[in-house]
Amino acid sequence: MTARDPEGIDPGLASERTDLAWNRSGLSLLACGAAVARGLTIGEPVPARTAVGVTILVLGGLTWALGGWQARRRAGAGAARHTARPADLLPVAIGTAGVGVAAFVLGLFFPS
Amino acid sequence: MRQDAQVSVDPPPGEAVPPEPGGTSEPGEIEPDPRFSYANERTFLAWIRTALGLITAGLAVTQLFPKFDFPGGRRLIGLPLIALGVLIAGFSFTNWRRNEDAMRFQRPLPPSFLPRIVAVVVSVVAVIGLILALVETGRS
Repeated sequence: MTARDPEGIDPGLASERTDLAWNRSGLSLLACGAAVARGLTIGEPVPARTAVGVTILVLGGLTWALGGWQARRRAGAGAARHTARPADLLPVAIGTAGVGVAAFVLGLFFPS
Repeated sequence: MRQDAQVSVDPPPGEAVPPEPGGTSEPGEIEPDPRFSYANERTFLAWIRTALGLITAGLAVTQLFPKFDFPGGRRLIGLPLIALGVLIAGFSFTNWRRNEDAMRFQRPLPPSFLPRIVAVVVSVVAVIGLILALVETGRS
């Protein structure tokens, strides 16, 4: 590798702070999932609402699990080490936008 | 010798690292300081969290709030927040990419209109919420 080792020269621990940012972002998604799950239990159960909620939780969770795993792999030692590339972050952006679209549909057609 | 000449782009003084041989780099492209790339990635993640926060808030309004007397009142408040969240999720990626390219080609960082949109939409929704709350209080 020709790139410098960022941890050797970096007193700001950029790599570690980035890892923590991934953790915070995952927790935000859990909060979003919890809001949906709470919404599901209010009022009479609507199958479509349940389907949307479960989709948010499963797809969102998968997106973040993959993104976080990729980030840790990138920050590790060896040939896989590199800073973020478009293919690393694009799925997270698309997944989050997908959660939003599902939430929009839920709010528009199935308010409790 | 010829291959060496191809990969040796003009490295700017100080920070720049020449691109790896065999990489997908273009002429004039340099490898940005990893710390700046990490900061850019964290900015992307912070916008993603902002998007998730707005989506969660909008969901909470449409799903958990008691109904207003005004028909569609909860949607009026919640749906713009969710739509803003979707917009931010999309632009968080394009902004990250523009910043990364600007660093690679040593251009100034491009301006972003996202903060202004967030301020405008959140302000408008707050005013709508205030009006709805005042109307409901007056009725009861």
